[in-house]
Amino acid sequence: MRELIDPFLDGELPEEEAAEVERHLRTCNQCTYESTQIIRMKEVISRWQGITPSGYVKQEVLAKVRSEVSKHGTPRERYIRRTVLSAVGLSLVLIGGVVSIVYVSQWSRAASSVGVATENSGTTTTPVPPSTGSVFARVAGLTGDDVRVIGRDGDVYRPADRHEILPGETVEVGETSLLAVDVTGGRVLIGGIAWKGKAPSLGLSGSTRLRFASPEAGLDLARGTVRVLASGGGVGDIRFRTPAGTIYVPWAGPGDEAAEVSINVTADKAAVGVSSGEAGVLVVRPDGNTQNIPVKKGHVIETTSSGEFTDRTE
Amino acid sequence: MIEKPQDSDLKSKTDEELIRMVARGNEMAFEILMDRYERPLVTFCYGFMRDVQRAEDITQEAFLRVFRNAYRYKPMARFSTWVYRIATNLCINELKKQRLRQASSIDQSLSADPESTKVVEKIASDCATPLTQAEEKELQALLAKAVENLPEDQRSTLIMVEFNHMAYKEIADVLGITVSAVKMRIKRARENLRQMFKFLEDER
Repeated sequence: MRELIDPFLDGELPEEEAAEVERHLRTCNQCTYESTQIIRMKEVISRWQGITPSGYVKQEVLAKVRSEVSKHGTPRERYIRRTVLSAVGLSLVLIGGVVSIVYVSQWSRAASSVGVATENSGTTTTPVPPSTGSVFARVAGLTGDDVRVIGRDGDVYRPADRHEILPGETVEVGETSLLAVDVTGGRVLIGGIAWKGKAPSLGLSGSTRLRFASPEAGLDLARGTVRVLASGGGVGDIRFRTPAGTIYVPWAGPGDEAAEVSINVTADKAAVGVSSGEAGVLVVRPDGNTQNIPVKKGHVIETTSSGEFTDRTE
Repeated sequence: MIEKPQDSDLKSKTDEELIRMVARGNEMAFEILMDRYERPLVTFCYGFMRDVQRAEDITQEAFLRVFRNAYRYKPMARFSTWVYRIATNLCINELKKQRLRQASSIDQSLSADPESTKVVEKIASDCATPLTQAEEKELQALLAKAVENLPEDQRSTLIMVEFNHMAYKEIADVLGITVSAVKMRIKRARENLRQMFKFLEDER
């Protein structure tokens, strides 16, 4: 019973156990004495106000943060720029066939997911945001290299060999993993390093669930339409890159309110519409300049010939 | 791009709501989080480091990491757990670097000085008389010393319970230990404090 006294006095015991301790204390002088001592100790300790900070901590942090942001943008902007730019130069080809991929956030499949419908009529849901999440993929009828997921440092790791994952199997990608996905001949092949310390190459067919522990892992598409359904905030896992090198990253959130954004990117034009919630698109120009464009609910924006967005909502 | 505050009612928001705003670059939300956590974090880090200056340095670094990684924050974990874990890792790394992770010995001198313990007796005896300013100051110094004299693992755990008011489970998550280990540390910490404040046990 003695070992229950500390948790009891700290309010850590469930009701039933707490009642049991109380009953015991009525009859046990030793435990009652110990409890009294602890209570007195707690009363004394509770007077301690802790360490009084010098007052410089907050000031210095703010000064550093402001300096960083003014030079390099917010951390999220830096992350997106770094991740997206690292993908530039890598060949991304979306060829015909039918792709149907579903990503589901590990937080909540229903609430924190991003839906993507490719031009080829598939549907993808990706973790929101960038960070971690699970991928649930269905693939069929592809004829060439259609989709790739780029590693955190921008490299694409082609599978050295192929290991087929059974439908429904779950694969975890470690924090330090590099990840690449090729879609070839109707199958998605996934390669990376440090894949649970085992062989880096994996094949995927049918339905397979992937877990992205690395926020830098993402999926690049050259063209197509993305429909994002998100809550909890998100950006970054799905990126579109035009032949001219402009990259569009749809985002939603970060609030808990569900948001839906559709983005359609073709070789010469991009359109973004938001039907609910808070969402928009981050545009990364070939010269590295970024522009974050929130889109009002119910509005559609579209690029003009100069590449700038204009609101085409009536 | 730093977002300007759009909501004058930020202070009523939860930590989790604020950190999501920080992820979008909202500086005001970040300031409010720092206001909430500055003293608890400095005290928490002091529990490891036993040095106010170092505790402040680590708190500063912890806040910077919170800002830089706000977009990585996962709502599945409480913000407090996340930030204390960051601070814990920083403290442990710092201790490793400085090779200070040696078991501390209990300083019994506290209870040997009857004058210094009067103020504690006054509180413990349920005396209704409020402490004078001098007594309060004396108490704070005494308590800080008592806590400082605990071994590192007990000290940090006790601070989390008594000062940061954290649940055992959250402490276990932050420190990467079991709930049973948390209970054990607390029990030992209190036993050691009782040794230091031995006079509290005189009345039986």
